[in-house]
Amino acid sequence: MIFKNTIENFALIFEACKREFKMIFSDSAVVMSYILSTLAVAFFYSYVYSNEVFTDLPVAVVDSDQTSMSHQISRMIDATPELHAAYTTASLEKAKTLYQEGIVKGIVAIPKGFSRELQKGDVPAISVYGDASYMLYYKQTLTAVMQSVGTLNGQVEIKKMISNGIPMQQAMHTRRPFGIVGIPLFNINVGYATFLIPIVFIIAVQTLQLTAMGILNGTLREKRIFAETFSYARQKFSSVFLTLGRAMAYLIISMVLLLIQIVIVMHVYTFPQRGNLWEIIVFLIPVILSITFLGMIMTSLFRRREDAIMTVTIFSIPTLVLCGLSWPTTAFPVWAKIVSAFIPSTLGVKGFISLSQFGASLSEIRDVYIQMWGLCVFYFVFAVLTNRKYLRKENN
Amino acid sequence: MKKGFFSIFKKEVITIFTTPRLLLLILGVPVLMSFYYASLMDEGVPRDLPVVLLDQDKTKLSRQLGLMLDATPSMKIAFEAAGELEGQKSVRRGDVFAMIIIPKDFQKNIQKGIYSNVTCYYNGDYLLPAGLIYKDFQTAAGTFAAGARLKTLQQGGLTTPEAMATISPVKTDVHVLFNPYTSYSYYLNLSFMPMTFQIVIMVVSIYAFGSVLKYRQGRELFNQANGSIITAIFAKILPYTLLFLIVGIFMNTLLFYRINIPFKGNFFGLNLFFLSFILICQSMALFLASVMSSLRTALTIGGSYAALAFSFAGYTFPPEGLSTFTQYFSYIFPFTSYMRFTVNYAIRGITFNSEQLHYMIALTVFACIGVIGILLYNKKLQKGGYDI
Repeated sequence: MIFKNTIENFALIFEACKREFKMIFSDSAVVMSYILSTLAVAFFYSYVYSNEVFTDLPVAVVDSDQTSMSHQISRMIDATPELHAAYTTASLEKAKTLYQEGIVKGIVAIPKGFSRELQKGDVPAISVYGDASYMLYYKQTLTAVMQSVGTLNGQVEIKKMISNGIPMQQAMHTRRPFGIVGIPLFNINVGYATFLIPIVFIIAVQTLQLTAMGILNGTLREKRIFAETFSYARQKFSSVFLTLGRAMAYLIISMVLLLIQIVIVMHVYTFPQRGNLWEIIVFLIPVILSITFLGMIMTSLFRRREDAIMTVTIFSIPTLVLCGLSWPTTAFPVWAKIVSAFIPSTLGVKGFISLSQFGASLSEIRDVYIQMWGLCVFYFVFAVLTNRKYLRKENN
Repeated sequence: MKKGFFSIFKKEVITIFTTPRLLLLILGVPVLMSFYYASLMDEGVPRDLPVVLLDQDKTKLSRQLGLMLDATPSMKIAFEAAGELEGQKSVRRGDVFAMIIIPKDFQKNIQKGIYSNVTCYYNGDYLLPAGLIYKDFQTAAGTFAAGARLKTLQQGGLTTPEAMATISPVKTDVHVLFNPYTSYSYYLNLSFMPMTFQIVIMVVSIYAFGSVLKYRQGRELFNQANGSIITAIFAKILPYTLLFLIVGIFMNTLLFYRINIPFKGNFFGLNLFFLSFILICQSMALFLASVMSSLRTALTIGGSYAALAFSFAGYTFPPEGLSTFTQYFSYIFPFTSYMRFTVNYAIRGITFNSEQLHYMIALTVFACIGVIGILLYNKKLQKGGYDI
C-alpha cells in the first residue's frame, strides 16, 4: 500500500513537471520573457561592458608656468593610462569653456612661478579640478595626477640627495622606510564587467523567471482554470508533490540558462570563472528552487498576469542594489539587511560570487549554503499552501 | 453615456482612485522606492568596511600602523588573522574586503634601513569598497612612512618645514567639482530615483493604453471621444501624466532639498524638463502598446526596455568605456538623454549649449515615435483591441 502510494506520488511529480513544461512552451510571451530575454540580457550586458575599464580620459592642462619642468609634468600626466592631456593652454578660461562643451572632463593647472618655487624649496601646488558629477571621471583624474605628482616628488627628492653626495641606491632606500603595495584580487583590472556580470546573471534569471511564472499563474487565475489544470492532483498530500513537480520544470530550465551563462557567455567574453562547476550547480539548486517557490506564492498576490509583470519589473533594479552592487551590504541600515534576507538573490549572489569569482569551495561557504536551504524550505511550505488553496478554492 | 474629453478624463480618474493596485503602483511604489534609496545611502560614503589584518611582526611600530589603518574612515580591522590561510579564507568568503599584511621584522628593518613591503590585498570585485580601501591604505601607510622619514630628517638637523619640503616638494590642491563631499548618496540617488520611476511610468502607461485593447473596449473609447483619436489618447493618459508629475516634483524636492544635492539649476525649469520626460516615456509606451500583439508582450518588452535603460545611461560607467557602437546605441533609451541633460543643467549649472541641444534633439525623436504610435493606436481602437 505504502509502496503503491510512493510510486503514485513519484508519477505525480513527473506528470506535473511534464505539464508545466508544456504550459511554459505553449505561451509565446512566457518563452520570450523567460528564455529568450534571459539569454539576450546575458550576452548583451557582457558585450556592453566588455571593455572593463576606460583609458585616456581627455583633460586640459593649464600651463601658466611654461618651463621645462611644467612641460615635463604635462607629459607625465599624458603618459598615464588614465588620462590624456588633450589640450594644453595657458588660460584657465579657455579650459573652462572646453569643459563646459564636454570636450575635456577635467582640468589640471600648473601655477605661474612653479619651477622657481620648487627650486627655492618652497612647496608649490598643482591644482586638480575633478568632475565629481560623474564619480569615475573624478576618481580617474585624481588617481592619475596623484601618481604623477608622487613620481615627480620622488625624482626631485632623489636628485637633491644625489647632489648632496648620497649614492643613488641609498637615496632610493632612505626616501621611503618601507614599501606600500596594493594588490587587487579576483578582478585584477578593477574592471566593471567582471564585477557586474555574475551578479546580473542571477538577477536576470530571478526577475525573468518570476515574470514568466506571474504570467502563467495569472493566466490560470484569470481564466479560472487553476484547479482544472491540476485536476490530476486530487489525493491527500498531492499538493506537496504537485509543488515539487512544477518546481522541477523551472529548476531544469533555469539551471540550463545559468549554465549557458556560466560556461558559454563567461568563456566567450573571457570573464574569470574560478569555481568548481559541480559545486556551483549544487549551490544553485536551492537558489533556483527558492525563486520558484517564491513565484508560486506570488500567485495569490497577483490576480492578473499584467500585475505580476509590472511589479516584478519595477523591483528588478532595487533587488540588484540589495546585492551590494553599488553600495556595500555592510553599510546597509538594519531594516535593509532584514528585507534583503528574504530575497533569494541576496544570498544567492553572495554564494555564487564567492564560488565563481573568489574561488571559495562549497565547504568554505557552508553557512551561506545552509541558510539558502533554510530560505528554500521556508518558501516551499508557503508554496504548498498556495497551491493547495487554489486547488480547493475553485473546486468548490 | 456622456461623451467628450472631460468624461473620459473623469472616468479614468475614478478608475485610478478606485483601483488600489494601480494607485499603489503609481503613487506608492515610486515614493517608497525614493525613501528606500535615500535611506540606504544615508551615510553618503560607506564607512568602516571590514578588513582583516595579519600582523606578523607584533611590535610597537606594527601595532601603531595597525591602529592608523583602523582609524581611517573607510576601514575597520574586523579581526586579526592568526595566519595567512585564515585571512585568505575570510576574503574568499566575502566577509572582509581586504587583507593587510605587515611583514615579519617590520620594525627591525625600518630601524636598520632595510626595505620591506606592507601589502594590502583588496577584493577588486566590489568597485566602490575597493577604491575607498586602496586610497585610504595608501594615505594611512604613506603618512606613517612619511612620519618615520620626517623624524630621521629632523634628527639630521632640518627644521620641520624644511623636512616637509624635502619629503614632498610639490603639493596637490584637489578641487572636487559639484559634489564637495564626494557623497555617493548625492551621486547615486540622482540617477537611481528617476531610473526606478521611469520604469513605473513606462509599464503603467503601457498598461493604461493596452488594457483598453486587452478587454476590447477600443470602440467604446473611440465613440466616447466622438471619433477623435487625439481626444481619446490625451484624455485617457492625462490623469496618469498629472499624477506622475506630482510624484516627480516630490522626487526632485527630496533630491535637492532633503538629501541636499548641490543644485545649480532652476527648480521650476527642472520640473518642466521632467514633465517633458514623462510625456516622452508615455509616447514610447503608446507606441509599444500599439505595435505589440498582446498586452503581456507589450509589458514584457516595455518593462525590459525601461529596466535596461540604466545600464546604457553611461552614468555609473561613463560612455568613454563603452564601444563606439554602444555609445550611439545608448540613445535609443530616452533615459540616457534625460540623465545627461539633468546632470549638465542641475548639477553642473551649464547654460544651454550645443551639447544640451543634442540631448533635446534625441528626445524629440521619441516624441515623433509617439506620433506614429497615435496612428497605430487609432487602427487598433477601430478594430476594438488586440487580436486574440
